[in-house]
Amino acid sequence: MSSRYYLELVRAEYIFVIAEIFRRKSMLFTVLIWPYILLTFILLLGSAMGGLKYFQARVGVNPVIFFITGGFLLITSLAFFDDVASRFWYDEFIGVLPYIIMSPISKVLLAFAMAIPRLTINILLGVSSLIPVYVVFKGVQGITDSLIVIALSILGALLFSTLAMVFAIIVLVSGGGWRVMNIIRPLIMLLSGVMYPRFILPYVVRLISSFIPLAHTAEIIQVYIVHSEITSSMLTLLGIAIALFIIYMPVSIRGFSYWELKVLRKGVKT
Amino acid sequence: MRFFENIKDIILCAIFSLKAYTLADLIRAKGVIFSLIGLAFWLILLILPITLFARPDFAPSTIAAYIFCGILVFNVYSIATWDWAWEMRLLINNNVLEYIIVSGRSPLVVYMGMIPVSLFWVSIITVIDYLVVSAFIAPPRLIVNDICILMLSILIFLIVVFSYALLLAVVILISGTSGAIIEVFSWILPLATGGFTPLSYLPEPIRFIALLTPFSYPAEMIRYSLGVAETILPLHLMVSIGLCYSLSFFTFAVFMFKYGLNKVLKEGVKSLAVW
Repeated sequence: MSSRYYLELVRAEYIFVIAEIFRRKSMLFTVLIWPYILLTFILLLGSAMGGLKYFQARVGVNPVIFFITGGFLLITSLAFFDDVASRFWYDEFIGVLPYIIMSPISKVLLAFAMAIPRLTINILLGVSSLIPVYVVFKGVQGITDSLIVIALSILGALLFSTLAMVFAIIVLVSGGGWRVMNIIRPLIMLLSGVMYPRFILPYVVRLISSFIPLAHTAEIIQVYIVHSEITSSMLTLLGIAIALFIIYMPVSIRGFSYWELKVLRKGVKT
Repeated sequence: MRFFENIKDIILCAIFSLKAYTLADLIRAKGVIFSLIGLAFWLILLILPITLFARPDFAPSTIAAYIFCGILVFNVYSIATWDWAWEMRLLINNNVLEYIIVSGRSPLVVYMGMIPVSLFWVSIITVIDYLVVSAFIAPPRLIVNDICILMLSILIFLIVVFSYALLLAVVILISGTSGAIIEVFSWILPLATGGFTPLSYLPEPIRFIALLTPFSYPAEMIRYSLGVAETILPLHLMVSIGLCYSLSFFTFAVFMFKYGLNKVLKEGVKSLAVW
């Protein structure tokens, strides 16, 4: 019963997102071009610092492949956090949150349905950004590699979803809106190491980041783009990420109940 | 006499706008604290991967100076896009623009009121930029070569980015799209105009494009005056072209801003969603 109910919510979210994309084609264009912009930004700055070969010598992978993957990961990983935190906040801003709270739907299921359409769009983003770059640098092997990286990124976003919900609840409960989001977004990226290998982080930061499932899936992807093979250490990291996903599940569900109760008690600002 | 009354009126409006912005955004919404924390995190996130490109024989303080100047220039671009041009979207979304137009004032007064706040921001951001770069790489090796050129280049740069903000605001007004414009321009323009790196380090085609824009001249002058890099053209030429180009660009931007407002008066304000 609940799975059918959840699928109905996902379907509604798809209709909403598809309508939004057709109405705002510029949004789709921006999302598709963004990993390339970020790549150009970092490569140009990096070239001025020294050169691409120094990066390759330190990290063991071509920086073009590394940062196109990083840009893609950055967008994909934030799907749940961005959608949940910004949507409920935006609903409050435009005055429809009271109707959503009054509706009989489960807010937790709604939150878990919200990012699914965006994850689908991210597959398209992976096709437009990763496949061309991987093919240029790795040849035919690049197609397989990029498809595996896309699959791992989507899996990483799903495994991060429960903790992302906890972060989204912090944004909603704090009432700080985009300002708090603007702190949490780079913090997540910073701790999970999507834009650089985690070994350059200080030990304490690395220790904290080990509690974030995304840090483990990002590491799996980074190791994969260096070696192009699945190793046993990657499976261990995947196991840790799955365990963390399960651990954070009850916290996110309770968090949503707390936020809903808070909204019911204090009312909604309009 | 009428001219001076108009100027006084504009200054008064700008002061009210400054008070409103400071109270609402910085104090009531705690924008100062939240934004500064967020900014420091974004800086660390962008700086860390760039250090992996550094030549082993490069002194860390030199690398730090490059990064510091790149971020400084980028931040000045950012106040044009995220502070000033974005304000047009907020004015429309919050249904304020129509009231400003009906009151007989130009929305320019809001922009003028925001300038001191934005300058305050850039100053604080520059300090944070310096601290973050010092903590993660090394204290930047900055030597002020010529204080007059530095002051002049900052002034020219502010004129250019203010004009650029006005043009972006007109595009938002006319097209009814904001997110895509701001997101794309805020990244591409600093890259294409030599905002991040000295022009001599850029590939020839990009260097040529950069010199066609008014942005590259003050950016090069800032880097020269801080002892980070030599200018690509002789200094006196950079100063002359930069000054003339910035004033012409400003005149053009004000003309376009008025054109955009007239168009809105005829066609009405387009509604903007998140994007």
